[in-house]
Amino acid sequence: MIRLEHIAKSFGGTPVLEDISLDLAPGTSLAVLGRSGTGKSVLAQITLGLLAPDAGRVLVEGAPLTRRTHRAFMARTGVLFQGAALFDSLTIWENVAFRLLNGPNRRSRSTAREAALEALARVDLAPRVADLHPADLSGGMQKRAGLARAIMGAPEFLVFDEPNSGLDPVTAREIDALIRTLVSDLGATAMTITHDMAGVRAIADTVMLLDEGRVRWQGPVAKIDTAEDGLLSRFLAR
Amino acid sequence: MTPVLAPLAFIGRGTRRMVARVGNVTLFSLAVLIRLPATARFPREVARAALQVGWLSLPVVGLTAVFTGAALALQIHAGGTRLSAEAVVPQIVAIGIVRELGPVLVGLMVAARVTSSIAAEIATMKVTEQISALVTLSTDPMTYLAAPRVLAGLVTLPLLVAVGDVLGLFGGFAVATAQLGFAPEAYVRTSWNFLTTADMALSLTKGAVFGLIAVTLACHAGMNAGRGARGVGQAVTSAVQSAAILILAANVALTALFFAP
Ligand SMILES: Nc1ncnc2c1ncn2[C@@H]1O[C@H](COP(=O)(O)OP(=O)(O)OP(=O)(O)O)[C@@H](O)[C@H]1O
Ligand SMILES: [Mg+2]
Repeated sequence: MIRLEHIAKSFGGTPVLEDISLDLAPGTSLAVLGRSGTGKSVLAQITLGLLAPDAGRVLVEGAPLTRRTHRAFMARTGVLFQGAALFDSLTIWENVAFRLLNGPNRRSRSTAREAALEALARVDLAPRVADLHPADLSGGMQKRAGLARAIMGAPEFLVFDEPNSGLDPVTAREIDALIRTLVSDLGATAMTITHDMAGVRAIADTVMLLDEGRVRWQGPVAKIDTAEDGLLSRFLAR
Repeated sequence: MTPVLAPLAFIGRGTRRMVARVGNVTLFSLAVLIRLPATARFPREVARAALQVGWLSLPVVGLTAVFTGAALALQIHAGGTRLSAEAVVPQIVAIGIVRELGPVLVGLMVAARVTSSIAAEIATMKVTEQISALVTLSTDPMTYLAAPRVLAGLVTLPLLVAVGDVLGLFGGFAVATAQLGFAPEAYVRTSWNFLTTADMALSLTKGAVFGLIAVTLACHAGMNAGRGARGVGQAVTSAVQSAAILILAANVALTALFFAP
């Protein structure tokens, strides 16, 4: 259970988020919608404890995030960053298997590599990319490698920042299905930032629309078509 | 504010920023130093850093040292001739290289080569959220990124200085014997007998301190980089500038300490 209480954040006097509250119940999949620059990525960073809010707090299983609890939280969390954030100096498989190679519970390099190849297969990346470096991959392939890294070790919490932007429609649908499976099979709790309405319908239980620093609409995915909200309708019309 | 006071305010603000920065860098260095033992968990990173800082610096350090040693021998000879003291070439070259020029040139060359590349690498990682990604993968960026590099600086710089000293002495020797008419054997013996253990200890100590400065400032600037490509550029400039200045200042301090009356 992740709960955000009255989160506010501004940069250099410009407010980006004002009073955002949110409950992420275990096993739910939330889609966060919003126009470019509304603070969706900032919200994800705050949720993950990577950025401190100016006001409000983040609770994980009822406890506020502190230095100590943050470690434990991260150990159970998988993140896909908007720009993939793969480590340039490591090969793709070393990126994907990073936790197994460098984390507290290490595996041998050959075991880690096997696990990485499996994860790469789940995101539809051929074994031949395993030994390339991130710079050798296209943007969409980097995204998928980032996704493979995020889902390694079956985390309980997943945060995906635009998992299928820059992907072709076929792969995008496959990634949606993968996220859906992860959430239902593992009982994971997911927060997915996306612009892609087909994706929202495929992966989300609940939807949140951010606008001008506030939650403009929030509700179950089944209700998005009947919601009377101009901005949401415009998102759906795309 | 009156126009007269404006420059004073500018200097005041600058000073305040600088004091704050010195405080930040000091805390950062302590945070890195207490993490040095933990680098044992990341042997690959340590090896990669040692290669980047030490091994790959060898050519530039070696060439700089040889040329400087050679030029120094020529200068001392030219100056010494005016006092009919041209015989002191081996001694002055030995002291000049081992106590001063070896460590300082190595320090500055490393600041140019290594400080810039480490600052750029880490700043790029910051800007592209790779440092945040480390945190989400349960890895402390200070232990994984900064500590192995600082350890490499601390260990390889004295070795680089030793190489620089030897090659600098060789540069002086080559010119002195080929050009200035010194007998090879006598030149080597005079230099060797003149140098003390304290000279060599000073040389290597300077190397370790300069290595610490060059790499710590690089990591600090990288991890505190601003946003975008501009943030990376600013991190590199500030790291190289402050490393060069601090190395030269530390050089004065260390020399004064060693030869305190
Ligand atoms: N570290 C920062 N410093 C200053 N401003 C920031 C910082 N991070 C984000 N911002 C600003 O906050 C606003 C929201 O940024 P954010 O990246 O969260 O947008 P977004 O909703 O994710 O947009 P997109 O859909 O384009 O990814 C932007 O105006 C951005 O310039
Ligand atoms: Mg974003």
